[in-house]
Amino acid sequence: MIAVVHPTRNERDAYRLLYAGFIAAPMIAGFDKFTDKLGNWDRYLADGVAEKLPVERHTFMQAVGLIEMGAGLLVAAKPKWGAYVVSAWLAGIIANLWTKPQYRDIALRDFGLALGALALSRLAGDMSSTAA
Amino acid sequence: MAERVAARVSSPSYQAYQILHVAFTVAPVIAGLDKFTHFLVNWDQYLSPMMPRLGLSVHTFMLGVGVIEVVAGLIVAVAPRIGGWIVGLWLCGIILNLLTIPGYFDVALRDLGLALGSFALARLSEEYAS
Repeated sequence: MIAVVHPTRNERDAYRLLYAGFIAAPMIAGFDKFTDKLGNWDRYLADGVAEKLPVERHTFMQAVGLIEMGAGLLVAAKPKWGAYVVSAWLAGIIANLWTKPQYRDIALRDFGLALGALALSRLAGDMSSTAA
Repeated sequence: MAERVAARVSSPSYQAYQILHVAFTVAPVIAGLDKFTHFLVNWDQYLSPMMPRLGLSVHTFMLGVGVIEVVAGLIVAVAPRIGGWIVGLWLCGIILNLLTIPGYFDVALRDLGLALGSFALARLSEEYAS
């Protein structure tokens, strides 16, 4: 017997929280690479990476911003796959931040966010089996 | 009933619960302990000058914060249904604190994402926490 289990209200709530969060946060963080209203994002780029770049640090971070906005849109359209992309992206950010000892607490935060994105991807797998 | 439970615990949603349960146990405990060791960062920089410190020095105040965070992580470990709310609300407090210090708004955005994750854990715990 195959038990068809529909998502419960609690699961749906959890999904909606993470779905909204992982659309909004990458979009805001990406957009702010151009405005620097939230913080100076350029300082986070590993110096070893920045040295090897053919472009300026700020230009590179704007490209990062474009990718992040794209990732946010991907979560909106295809949450199951978009959340994996965001999670992998955050893993890259963690590796980058670990080279800068003064930002390791931010790496810890991004570790929590990466696991949150993984959880969203798992939840999306359950939601897509019904009209979510 | 047993089949329904078996189907539930093998579901992707249960894996989501397990992932968040681990994350929101480990992260507060590490962040709390590191208030004492400063291995990750100097946490004292994050305390808003507007925060009433009850006559304590910044570092002593942040050590108290660390103790609360370790306890919050342990509550998530044993009672995620309650712990998820505690950590989520605590993160909301951290966000308010950070918003009074210019230059850390990007950190506040991260904490917003984490707060949503913690509330999601609280909701999932209604299904899966024993």
